[in-house]
Amino acid sequence: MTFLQPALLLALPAVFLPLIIHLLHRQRFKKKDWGAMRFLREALEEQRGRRRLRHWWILAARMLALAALVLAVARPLVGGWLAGWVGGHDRTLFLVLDRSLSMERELSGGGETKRGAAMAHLTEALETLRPTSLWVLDTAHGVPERVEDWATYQGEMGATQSGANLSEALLTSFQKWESLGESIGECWVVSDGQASSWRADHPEQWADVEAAYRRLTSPPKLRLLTFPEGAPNRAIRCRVKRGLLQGTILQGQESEAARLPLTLIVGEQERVHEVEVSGRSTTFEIAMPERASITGLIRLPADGNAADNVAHFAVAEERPPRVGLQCEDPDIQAILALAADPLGEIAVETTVNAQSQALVICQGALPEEIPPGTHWLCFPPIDAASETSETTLRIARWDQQVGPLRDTRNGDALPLASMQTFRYVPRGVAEQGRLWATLANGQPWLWQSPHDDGRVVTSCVTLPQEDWSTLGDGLVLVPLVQRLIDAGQERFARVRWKPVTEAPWDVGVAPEEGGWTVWQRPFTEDDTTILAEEILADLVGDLPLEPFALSSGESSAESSEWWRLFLVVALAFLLMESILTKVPVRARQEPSLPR
Amino acid sequence: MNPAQLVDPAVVSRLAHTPLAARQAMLGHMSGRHQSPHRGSSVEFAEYRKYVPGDDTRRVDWRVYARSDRFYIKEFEADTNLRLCLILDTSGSMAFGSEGVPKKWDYAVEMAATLAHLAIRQGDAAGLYAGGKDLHCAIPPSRRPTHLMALQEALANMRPEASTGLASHLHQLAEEIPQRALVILISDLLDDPEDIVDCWQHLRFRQHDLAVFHLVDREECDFELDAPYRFVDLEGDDVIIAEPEAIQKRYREAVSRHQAVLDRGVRECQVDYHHVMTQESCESVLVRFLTQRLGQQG
Repeated sequence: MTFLQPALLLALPAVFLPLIIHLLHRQRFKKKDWGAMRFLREALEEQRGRRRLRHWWILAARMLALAALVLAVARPLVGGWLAGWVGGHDRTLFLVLDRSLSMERELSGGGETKRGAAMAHLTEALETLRPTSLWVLDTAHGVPERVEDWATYQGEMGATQSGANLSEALLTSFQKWESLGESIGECWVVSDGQASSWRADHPEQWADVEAAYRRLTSPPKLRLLTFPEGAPNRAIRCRVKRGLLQGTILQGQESEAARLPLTLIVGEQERVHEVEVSGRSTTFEIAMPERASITGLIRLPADGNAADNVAHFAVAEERPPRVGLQCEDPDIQAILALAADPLGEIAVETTVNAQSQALVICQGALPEEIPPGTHWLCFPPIDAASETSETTLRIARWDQQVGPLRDTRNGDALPLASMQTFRYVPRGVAEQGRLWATLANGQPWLWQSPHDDGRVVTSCVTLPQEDWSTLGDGLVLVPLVQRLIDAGQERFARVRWKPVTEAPWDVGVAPEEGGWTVWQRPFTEDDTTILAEEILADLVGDLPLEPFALSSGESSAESSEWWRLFLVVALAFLLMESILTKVPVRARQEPSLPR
Repeated sequence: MNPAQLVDPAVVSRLAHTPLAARQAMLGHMSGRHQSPHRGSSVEFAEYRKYVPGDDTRRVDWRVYARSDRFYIKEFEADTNLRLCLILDTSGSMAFGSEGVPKKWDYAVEMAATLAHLAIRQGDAAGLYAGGKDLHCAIPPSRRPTHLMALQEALANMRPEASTGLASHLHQLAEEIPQRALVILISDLLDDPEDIVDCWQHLRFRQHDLAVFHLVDREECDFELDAPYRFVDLEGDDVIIAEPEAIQKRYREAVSRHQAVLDRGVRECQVDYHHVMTQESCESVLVRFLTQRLGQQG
């Protein structure tokens, strides 16, 4: 049990007041020397035991009533998520607030959002606990800030379209806590437990967090305030590519198939476009006006989270992408040319001018100097020292989230698992490089070399030839090349698609020199997976994070309700006392206790 | 207290005409006015009894022998003096006395002193035994006039104190006091009544003439108090807080039960029992006592 006003417990000795008054009261009776005590004892003997017991019951009732009253005014906290609040003189509360877009999801249909509920709970909790100092780190800013006036601060904590990185936020918080010195208090993490915000796919980050926590000399007590998943929600995002608006509607796995009327606004025109959605992800395409330079948006019907129902886009006349192709072997060149331009829309040039080409595909030795900012896809020379595997090598793992081998917009994985590799050129990957795919024997298959000057050099260890691999089938090669072309073409796009990373955290379209910048919410926020408590516990390892799930109907005041209970107990004891003392005078054998 | 002031001369002079008599034959060493169980040579004929070998042949009534041809011994009453043993209860409860009424102790001392004076004055021996928890005073009976002063001094120096041990004292005295004495017990009898009755039986078994002055204060008896009190035990440190009004009935019932046991003991043991309310004058109680005993004289 915790007390919000522990100083008032000093009044607990007051419970002995009835006893003291009783003893003083005894002295108030006139003294009379008496000889025939045996008759007195005999007269009192019959009900002496019961009377004395009643006598002590009355005293006990009074003392307990006082004790309950003192405990009530000391404001005990029992149960609830505020219970166990670290009391003392110097109480610091460190709040880590998840301000990601997913926190805008409503807890129930038409109800308050998770962020709104969290703020209400926190406001109430802070009024109750009144910590000596309050520090807040919201994931949108990522910087701890000392808050003197919570009401003002709370007003500034509006909705954002940002993502969150809880592991980084906690790491920063612990570093700040360390700098605060020997603080006593708690650190509360307020989050909906979204998998992407908690970096569930990067457990190594949590090892750092745990290590930082262990380094603290006076670590705070950790609490996690989570919420239920909330009202059903769908999210939409879109992108315009080569005259087509490519939209994706994401929804929870449990959502049923439905036909959704999407509101499409292109320039001044508004119309409804119906899309049949099913499964976790549904993609659709809408043709955009040709040779236009307009903006627009597409909107989902209202659901559990209004913040992810709108996707903005811009259309601008784009020049077709150009691809440079430099190969030793003509057969390979043919295959790669086909992969670069399967539909005849892309200009594939056999001369390399990397600075004006979206991608340069190079099979053989790389030029000595690669211009900064250019994009390259490299394949090994035919005569390079290669290794041949006695058994068929398959791709063991690849990055399905980001990179050129990511899953499709429909959520389908590229068929890398079925691709076979017979020969490869063993290569090491630099420490800072991004490994996109790895062979079953642990050898890298596709990776991106690290460069600080904007160069993107992606390398593959095999060739699209029958004696090297089945890459030439095109099932992996075509999307790989097309995605790299798209990434490289970004440099020449008049419409730039960027995730919001800073205030004011709003999505939308902003004009830019010669084109548009479309601010989109982070991709990570599209993944609505909420981590189960067990998974979260596994993720944070030995970090003593105590989870408390709050619902919309729950109030932090539930914890402070206990003072009312103590008050009721006090009244009950007083009632008991009055019943015990209300005995007819004739029946009394001993004087009543003082009132 | 001045020993000389223990006895009111006026009272003694008024009581002088009523002798202290024994209800039964007394055993004494000196000649006196009380009947002795032994046959003596006084002028008052007692009875004839058959001669048995060993009898003094000088006491054979030859005239009867001449008439009846049988040996008879002629016996006469023997008069002897009385040994008065006053037993005083000095337990703490004897110090009680309600307002305007003499304390039981003062009453008992006056009564004992007067009785001793009367006894010695009429030539009888008087002794004094007193005790509370312990028997701390044991003055054997004596008929010397100077003995009276010793008794009065002892009485003047005594104070009621400690708890009562009346029953044990009475058993002890029943054994120590030679047979056939007049034993007068002056006490409030606030002890286990069954034990007290046992003592009486013991004393009677030893053929003592037992008289009891049961001193009772009306307040102790009626328990008519109008306010709650902190009752402090005169025989110890026990304290009881009580509302007399509330427990008066049960208190009186306790008194009645106590008295009933004593009354049964009085009947069974043929005790010359006197229930003395302390607001009554000592003189009137003694007059009644002496007068009654004259009528019962054996």
